[in-house]
Amino acid sequence: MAKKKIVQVKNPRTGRYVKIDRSKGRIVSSKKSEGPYKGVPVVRKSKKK
Amino acid sequence: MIIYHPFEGNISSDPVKYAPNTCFVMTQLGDDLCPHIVRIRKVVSRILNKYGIKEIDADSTTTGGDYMTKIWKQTFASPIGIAIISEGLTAETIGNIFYELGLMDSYGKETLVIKTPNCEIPSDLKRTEYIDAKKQYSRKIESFLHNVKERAEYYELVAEQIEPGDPVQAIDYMRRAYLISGDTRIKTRASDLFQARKNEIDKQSRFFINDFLRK
Repeated sequence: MAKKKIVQVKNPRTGRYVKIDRSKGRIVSSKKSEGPYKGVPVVRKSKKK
Repeated sequence: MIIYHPFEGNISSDPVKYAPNTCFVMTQLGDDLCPHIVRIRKVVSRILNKYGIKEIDADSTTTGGDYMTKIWKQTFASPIGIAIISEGLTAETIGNIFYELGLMDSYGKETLVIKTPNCEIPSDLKRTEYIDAKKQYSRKIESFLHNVKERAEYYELVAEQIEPGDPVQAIDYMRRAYLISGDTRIKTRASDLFQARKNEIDKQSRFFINDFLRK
């Protein structure tokens, strides 16, 4: 399955999610409230390296 | 990335020697130390040792060069900075500590202020993480260091995500992850990315990245 262009990751420093545009290579926004953005896939560190 | 030498005003062309897995401690140094500082520093040393993080300060190395340039390079080399302050310190000493803390914040380092309960924090630093050195504060220091380890994983994860669109920023996130974790796997991965995307990377960024990838 193709990777999504926009994903989100939780920043442990702030405890808030940030939205990342993979094709632009940029963090495009930081959520002001708690919880993830709706409809945006959350990426987590893969266990296998 | 362009780094300016803070005292000469020129773009820095000095190579940076990074110090992964270290913590730069900013506090009163020398003889006749404030008892609060001695007590807190002992706690900090014990916890850093427990986490396998080497403690350095402005007196750790002797370069024979300019003292302020040495401090600037140390703030850039270490991934973590801990400032220890007390109301017993002079305004001059506290000013020096906050200057170094500001440098580290601007370089994207993980910083923490540990202060005695009666010591006031300047309003510009209200959003900087700080801990009052009172009951069970050692647990809070450990919690900070645990969170810093999570930040390394976050930086690595962000690097993976932004890699397709911006190899320079991806390598810089990898640099920050590597400095905290000391994991050479991250450095190898950054090196592979650099080699594969070299043609997209400008001259100044290559200079900066080479400092990181140098063995």
